[in-house]
Amino acid sequence: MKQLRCPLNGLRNISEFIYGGEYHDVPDYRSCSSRDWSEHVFFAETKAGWVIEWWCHLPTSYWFLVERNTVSDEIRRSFPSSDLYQERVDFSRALAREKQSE
Amino acid sequence: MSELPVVQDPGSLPRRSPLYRLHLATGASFRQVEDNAVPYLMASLPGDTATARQLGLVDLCGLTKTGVKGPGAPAWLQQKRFQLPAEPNLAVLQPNGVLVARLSFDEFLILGDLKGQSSAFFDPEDIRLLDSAPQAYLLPRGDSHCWLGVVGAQASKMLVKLCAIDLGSEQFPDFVIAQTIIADISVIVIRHDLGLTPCFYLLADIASTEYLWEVLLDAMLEFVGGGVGLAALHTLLEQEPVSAM
Amino acid sequence: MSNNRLPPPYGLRLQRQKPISFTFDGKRFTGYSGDTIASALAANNQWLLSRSFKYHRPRGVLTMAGQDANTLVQLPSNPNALADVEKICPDLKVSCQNVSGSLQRDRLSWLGYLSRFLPVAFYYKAFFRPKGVWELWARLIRKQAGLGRIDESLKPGYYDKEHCFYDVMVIGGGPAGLSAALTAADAGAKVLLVDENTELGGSLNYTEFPLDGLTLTVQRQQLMDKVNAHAAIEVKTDAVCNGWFADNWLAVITEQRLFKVRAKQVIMAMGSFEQAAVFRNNDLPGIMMSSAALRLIHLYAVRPGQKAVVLCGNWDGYSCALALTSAGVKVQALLDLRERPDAGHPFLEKVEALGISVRFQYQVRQAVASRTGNHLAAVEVCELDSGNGRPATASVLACDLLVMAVGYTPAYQLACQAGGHLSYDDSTAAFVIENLPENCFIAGSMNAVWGLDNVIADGGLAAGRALKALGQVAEPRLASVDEKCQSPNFAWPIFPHSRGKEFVDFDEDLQVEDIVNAVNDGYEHVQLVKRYSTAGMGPSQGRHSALALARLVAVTRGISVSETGVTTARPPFSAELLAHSAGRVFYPAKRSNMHYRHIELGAQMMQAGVWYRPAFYGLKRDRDRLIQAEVSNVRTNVGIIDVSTLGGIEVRGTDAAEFLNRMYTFGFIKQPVGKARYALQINEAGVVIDDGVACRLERDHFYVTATTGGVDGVARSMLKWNAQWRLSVDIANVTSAYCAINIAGPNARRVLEDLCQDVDIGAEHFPYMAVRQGTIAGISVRLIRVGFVGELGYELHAPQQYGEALWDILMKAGEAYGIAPFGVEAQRLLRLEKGHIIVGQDTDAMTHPLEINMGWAVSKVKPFYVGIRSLQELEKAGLKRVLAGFLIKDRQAPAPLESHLVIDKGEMIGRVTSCHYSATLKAIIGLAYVPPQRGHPGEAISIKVEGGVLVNAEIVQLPFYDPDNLRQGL
Repeated sequence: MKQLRCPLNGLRNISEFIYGGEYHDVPDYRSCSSRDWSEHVFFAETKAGWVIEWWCHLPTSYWFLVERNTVSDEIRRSFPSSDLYQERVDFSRALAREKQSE
Repeated sequence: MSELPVVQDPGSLPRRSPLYRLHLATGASFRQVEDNAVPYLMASLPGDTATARQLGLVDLCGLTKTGVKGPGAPAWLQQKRFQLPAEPNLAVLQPNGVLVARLSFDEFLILGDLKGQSSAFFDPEDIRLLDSAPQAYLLPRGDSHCWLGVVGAQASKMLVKLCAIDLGSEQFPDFVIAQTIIADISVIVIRHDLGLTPCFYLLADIASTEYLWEVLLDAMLEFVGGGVGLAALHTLLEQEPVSAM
Repeated sequence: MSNNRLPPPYGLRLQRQKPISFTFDGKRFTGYSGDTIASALAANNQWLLSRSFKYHRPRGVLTMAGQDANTLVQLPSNPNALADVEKICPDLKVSCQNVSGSLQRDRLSWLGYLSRFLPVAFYYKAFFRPKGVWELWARLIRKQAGLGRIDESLKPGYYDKEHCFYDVMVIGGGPAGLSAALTAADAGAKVLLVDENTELGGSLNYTEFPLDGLTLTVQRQQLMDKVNAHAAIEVKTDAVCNGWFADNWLAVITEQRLFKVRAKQVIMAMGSFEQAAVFRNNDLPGIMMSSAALRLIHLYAVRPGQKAVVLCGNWDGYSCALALTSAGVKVQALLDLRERPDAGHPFLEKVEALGISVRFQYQVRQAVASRTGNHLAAVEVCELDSGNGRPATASVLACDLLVMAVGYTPAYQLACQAGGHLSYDDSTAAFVIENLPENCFIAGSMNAVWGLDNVIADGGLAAGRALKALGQVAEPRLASVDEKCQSPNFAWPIFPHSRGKEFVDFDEDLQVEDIVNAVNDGYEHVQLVKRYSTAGMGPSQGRHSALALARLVAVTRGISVSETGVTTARPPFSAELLAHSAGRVFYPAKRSNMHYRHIELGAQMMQAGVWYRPAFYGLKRDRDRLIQAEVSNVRTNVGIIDVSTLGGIEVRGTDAAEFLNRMYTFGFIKQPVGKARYALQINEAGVVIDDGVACRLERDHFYVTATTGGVDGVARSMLKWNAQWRLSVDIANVTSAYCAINIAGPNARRVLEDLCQDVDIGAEHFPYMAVRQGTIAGISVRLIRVGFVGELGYELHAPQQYGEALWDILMKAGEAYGIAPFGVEAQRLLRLEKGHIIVGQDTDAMTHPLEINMGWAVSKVKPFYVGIRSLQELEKAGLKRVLAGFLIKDRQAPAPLESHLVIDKGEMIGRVTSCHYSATLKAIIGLAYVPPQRGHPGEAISIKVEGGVLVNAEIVQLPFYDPDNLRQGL
């Protein structure tokens, strides 16, 4: 059975994890075309080679990211999501509009 | 230290371990902790203790436990004079016998002492302050998880039948935690030896308690292990000196 | 005790003080403790063990190592036991398999004469036309196919599994494995050494290395003593490593336990399989590998024959000839396929000194059977075919034993499972294993290293590499391997005969011609030849056919063997009992704290995912009546249901409302404290995935419920989203921390009024969708006024371990008001009457909120929620279907079931998602997807039910029951 290193819990059998999809940039839902949006929702890139993926350690519900080669199934690195997501995400412009309407 | 009061029928108390009927049916005797009961003796004290030295399973659901979580949790707990483990997946025994387990950078599980003395970890005032503490939240660990103890020399030999991580003493010394899967369910494993006797605490979803108890008993068959009461754990603690903290 | 038994010290495995009697084919035999079935029979001169699969040819000992199908026998409890591995025990009843009549005289042995008419791929060619004919033939053929009988009265045994963990795992306890284990353990590694045999030693136990350095016995003893005494080496014998899986996860099977080994490093030192020469009648009993003869002599003290001929292409044949002579076998001749070496060789000198006639460049043309046809009587030998077309003159040598020593194939299976590549080295005429993954090494003859000193050194070298990979800095000082070690493989030990029966694959009775024809039929790649001809697909999985197969394919195609490729090896390495997979499996189950109260009340429990839930209370045969009665009691008095399985998530922090605003479609920013709000969750594609209610307990504290099956996924998706948004919010799945009870019905308030002193339960102070924190008999309870079943109702959420006490309190207090428990079935009907959907039952992988008339639960002013853009797109695209309520007035009509189709003019236009007879409404009611234009009240639809019957139904306005919501708002 394959093993995966969880940044919080260390090396564990893959059966302790659940796959959470590819990590990729999300188009701006307010401005992108319908086509770009449906690409984002329905089409996985399934690139052959090195990709970044979301994985969750089930017993701790800990989400993290993994750099994996989809051809060789080699795992190069796992790291906390905070390495890529450092800023709070706000939908502020629109938020202000909503506040006005309240 | 005061003796825990005897309770004849755990079903008469408002708070009931998921296993109390099982224990009643096997003729266990109980002691009361707060408004819950703990199986104190399964057979006789010498019998329970002998079993526990080899391989015993004990239901500690009746003991108190709680959890604190959030980015503000470490600071708040330190303010309450708890000694905290430096890293996730380690536990620290407090001078009063309470065990503080660090489950992640900002999540802590607090287990009451085995004598049942540490009934409340916080004053009501503390808890009120917790509500306003920046980003620290109480978790209802007292009811979310069961707390079973697997104790005895054969404990790790039995557990490797159910668990895919190495719980041998070199890889998994005292006070180390593994949050893993045992018998197909998520379990927090904490090693907390009683004197020189190996002991693993298993905490799993409380609704799975009966399932886990039965799986463990079945896996213990070949080692002639069985259920023991809390008193046996007290004996093990008393007879063998607890290693210096 | 018998004519073939040799005196001690022969017989390493035997305990001669313990004779054992058993039966074979109804006849009684006696052997010693330690004997295998085959060795005990051989000691008694019973060489015939089985009949071959296809032609029912007589077969006997071939490898004495469990590597061939010749020895398959039937044991009382177990078919297809390997007679050369299975040990005898007192009164064991062994019978033969695949025999028609008796083993000695098999009625079907005439099939061999038909072989000309049973060409390769006979079945593919013969039975596929006309269409359907195979079905007829199959019944007849299947009677002939398949081996062994299953004992259906078998009692289950205790089989278990166990995980174990090592720094280095060494597979194979021969000289290379012993040396690897010692080197690794001496350097401080924790080592597991596994061997399928009863004792360690491997080839040291039976081969003679008379020309290698130290004498064999001394070297063997030294290695074994050190290994057995080493504290860091765990030895498992009688243990088969049956599979390699990713990251060095290996299955090791012992008698009643399956070990799942995780090893940081793996060293495979599994040795080699000796290969047969291919000539006419090479399958006769009495013809065996040289290693089989040596095993018989040394392990079991069995003289393998009286008069022997040795056919060899390497020096191992000479070594075997010497051993045979010592054991009292008369070696008639040694046929060496090679040219006479220019310089002499110590082995040659020794053999010739014993007066054995050695003929170089000599082959066996065919073997000749005894009068019964069941044993070797002579071999016809001749000079090696020079290829000039002229047949050489043959001479006949009488013998009852022919040993073959023409080369080896490495035990490649595990290494290839690990990703290793088996390729053919034309210069050494041998398979070599290459391209092994990281942390996996091979040693000894498996690594094409030959000679005892070399093999021992190679084990050490493999251990050195493993230690380096473990991060050990100081490499141990190791002996080096002599690069000049010679390959024992003879390149072409294949001698086709005009009359065939030169077997390439003994399991499947495949002859040279079959392989040649398969290639000529167009199946050129070795993988295709395998599937077409079934070569290597029998029980021995190509162990002694893969090499000859590759060579034959290469020659037929006129290419080099290295270009033909080889077949793929997959787990398991050898046959395994189903019991090993079946032993200790897990069926997790969850029970609420009130579980046994339901049992005591006679509930029929059902499984909802991993949870046990009461379906209804009472006897199964009264099911329908009981469900309607439970419904009726909720509608007229008050009912109580355990809803502890309902998901619960605490969302706390200054961003709690903002977070819910993003996760659910409704608006939560302005939700007042003390109020609950319906919460509908959709995914990024706009599809409904869960629902519940969000209770605002404090400004920054929400308690959100979720469906039983959905809550874990909901909580996980919340955590994943917030890993990206980084809002100041804490998310905790507290499902099991709270038990929950729904008390519903016109009398619900009265029950609670008596119990809950600290909450004003009055209608004006505790209205519909309000949330309160209170206490009942000292138990802290969250009360939520909800209306899932369409009556005045309260959900009570309390810490789990108070569940049973709380249930008792409510049941007692409700006695005066006619309280009765109701189960999941009644709840489903109640909510259906009220037109409430169940996510997952009434929704599918395409359902969006507008289709189920939930536009009201979607905020139009929020800047963002998960799925907003998709829902906007779906709205633009227009509705394709709607979920509508239907009613069947005809009391006689059969009730539609879930997923029955809505039919219009013979076309499918929709499907039923929920349907039930409602005693409340005195009609069959249900929900169905229909096209939007057909979803208006008054529309007539027809539903195709069991047996193709069409039932007429009418679309009606939802809800069916209490459309003005007067009852839940009481």
